Amino acid sequence: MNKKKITIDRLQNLAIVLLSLSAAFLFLQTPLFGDLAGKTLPELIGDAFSTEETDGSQVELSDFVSPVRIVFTGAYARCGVDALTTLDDGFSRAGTFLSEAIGSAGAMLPSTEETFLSALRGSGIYFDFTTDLPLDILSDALNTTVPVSQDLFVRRAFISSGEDGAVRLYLLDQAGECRSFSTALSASELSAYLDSLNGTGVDFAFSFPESYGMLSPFTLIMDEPTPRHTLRVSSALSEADLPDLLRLAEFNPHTENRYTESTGTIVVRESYGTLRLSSDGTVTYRAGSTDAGSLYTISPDKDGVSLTEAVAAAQKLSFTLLQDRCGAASLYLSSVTPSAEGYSVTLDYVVNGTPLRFSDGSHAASVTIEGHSITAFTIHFRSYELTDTYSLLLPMQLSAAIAQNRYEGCELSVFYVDRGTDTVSVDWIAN
Amino acid sequence: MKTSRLKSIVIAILLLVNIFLFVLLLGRQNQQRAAYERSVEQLSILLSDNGIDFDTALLPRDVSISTVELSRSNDEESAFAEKLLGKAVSRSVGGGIYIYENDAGSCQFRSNGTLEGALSRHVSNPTAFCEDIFRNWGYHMDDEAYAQALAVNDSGSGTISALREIDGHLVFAAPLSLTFENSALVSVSGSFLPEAASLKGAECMDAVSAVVHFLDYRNATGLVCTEITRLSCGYLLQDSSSVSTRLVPVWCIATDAGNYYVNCATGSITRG
Repeated sequence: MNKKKITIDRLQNLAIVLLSLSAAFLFLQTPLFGDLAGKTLPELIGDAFSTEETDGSQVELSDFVSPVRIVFTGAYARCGVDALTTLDDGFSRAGTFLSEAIGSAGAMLPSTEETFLSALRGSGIYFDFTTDLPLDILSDALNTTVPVSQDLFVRRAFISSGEDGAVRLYLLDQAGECRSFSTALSASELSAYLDSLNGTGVDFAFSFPESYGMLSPFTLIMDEPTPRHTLRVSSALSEADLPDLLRLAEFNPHTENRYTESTGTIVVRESYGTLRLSSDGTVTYRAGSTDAGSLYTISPDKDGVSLTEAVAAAQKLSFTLLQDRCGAASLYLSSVTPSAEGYSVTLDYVVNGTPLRFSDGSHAASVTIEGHSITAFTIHFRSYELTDTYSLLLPMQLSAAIAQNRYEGCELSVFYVDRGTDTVSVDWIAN
Repeated sequence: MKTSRLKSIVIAILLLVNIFLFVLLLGRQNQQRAAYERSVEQLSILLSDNGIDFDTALLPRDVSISTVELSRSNDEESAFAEKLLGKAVSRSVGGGIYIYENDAGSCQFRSNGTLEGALSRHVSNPTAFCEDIFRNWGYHMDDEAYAQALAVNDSGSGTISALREIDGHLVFAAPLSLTFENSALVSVSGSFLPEAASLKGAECMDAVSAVVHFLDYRNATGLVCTEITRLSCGYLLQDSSSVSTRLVPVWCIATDAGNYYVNCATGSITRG
């Protein structure tokens, strides 16, 4: 009897366990629980215990974004894109060619702007980065390395598919200095890619000497300029953001060394610097002394600060303080100027591939680096949102006629212009 | 109360709960099946109204696909080059380009998975040779490839192409092609894709949604298309200058006007 009871008891226990598991399984499958977001239970448990976190202050140069205009010249046609960034899908394939060209660049040959223009009349891929970019930084962003260290700047690049089957790379900086390199790119692959493309027709001003002869030969004449949305602008800095901003800027949000000037500018002083936050969203900083590990200290263990490190530090500072407050805008490197004491780095906003300028000539972020420290910066905290309306642009011919009379030899390009109002539209800018 | 009686009551309750949940689950599955059949019927009417012939039997069900990270492998490239050329000397020319060469010819591998090779190697049985190459490196020879191979066997010249297969799905528009002339392998070109470094479950719209996206695209662009001949899920190779090569899950819609690829996540259309 006892044996029978024990057996029944065990069977009951087994039945309870099995039915409980079965009920749990069925419960997970039913709408009462949900569909587990398309994941299996082990994946959900793994996500719950995942310690993967992104440190918002870690800026990789692979996150580097730059506006770029591209012109593809095939055997029979020329097409291009005028509102693109290096992070867009549209840049991927062309960027891969550029990456391979830079990475496999052979011996450098000094060249001239005329040589560059002459090459531009043949087949190839043309890049205009709208600003002088250090070659090292461009290479890092393209995930490649320059074979021989070159302290070069690149405003324009052209991968030329020559008739001899060789592919050459031409690099031109803002000052007109040109260098050309042999590459290991396949001319047949480049030609096949160029011939497969169709897109918006585009040409250079040098192809229309009668209509656009007084403009820079690099001015792009698009059949249909990319439509740009009007932007709604607001200050990206509110009263509620101040404690966070002060904390990120390594200032004590509860400091007593804080006062408001008659202009409404809030001034915060610490031993290592002074921060001024004006009512229009502009934040300026002037340094005192800084400690190692500070946001304002760069490579304290090294002898000097390289250009790449200076740019990375300026980007890290700007991205840390701005976070995701810019709305539809991103920051791009607009200039880096070495000086006797260090570097001066400026960053500007770009929206959907179109660079933005402030009408007063200032930049979104200006960072001064002296020695191993950031000694000053000015950042315009602005947030830009796309509206449903498109921004009207003067016809190219009319703009060219005006520009040719006033600014002979200028390059006409489309920029957003922030005049301090609550909307921003595009304009032709003569550079 | 005796323990055994309590347990009996618990078992009865659990049994009722299981039955209730099972009926609920069954009902839900029936509803989903009915909803799917309704959506297929509506799709059929929609396509018919828009002048497109489509056999709903072509709609695959319960397709799951993963996002794939590819990790370039110099060892695999070296092994492939050796299979084609024999022992070869390798060198890097920068920009992620590696060249393998010997007296028989040369092969160039690029960072985006592109391969170009020129060689001269006598092959007595092109079909067997291609089967061996493609099978060992994860490429799938379809009926068309076998037909090409038979033609090459007969004439000694021609091109045989195959698509990479990953996790049971083909990588579209990225074939690897072997070209023969007078019973000699003279060139290799196309995409050489390594083993997938990682596979992770991805969200994928169903086939019906993909066809609807295609229909929107067709109406917006004025594309002349009167028949959908095949529908399958697979990958498109996506180049990127800043990160490693990616495979994007897509639906391939084969029509009488060409192939179109619908991104499984975003619904954007790429023309093949």
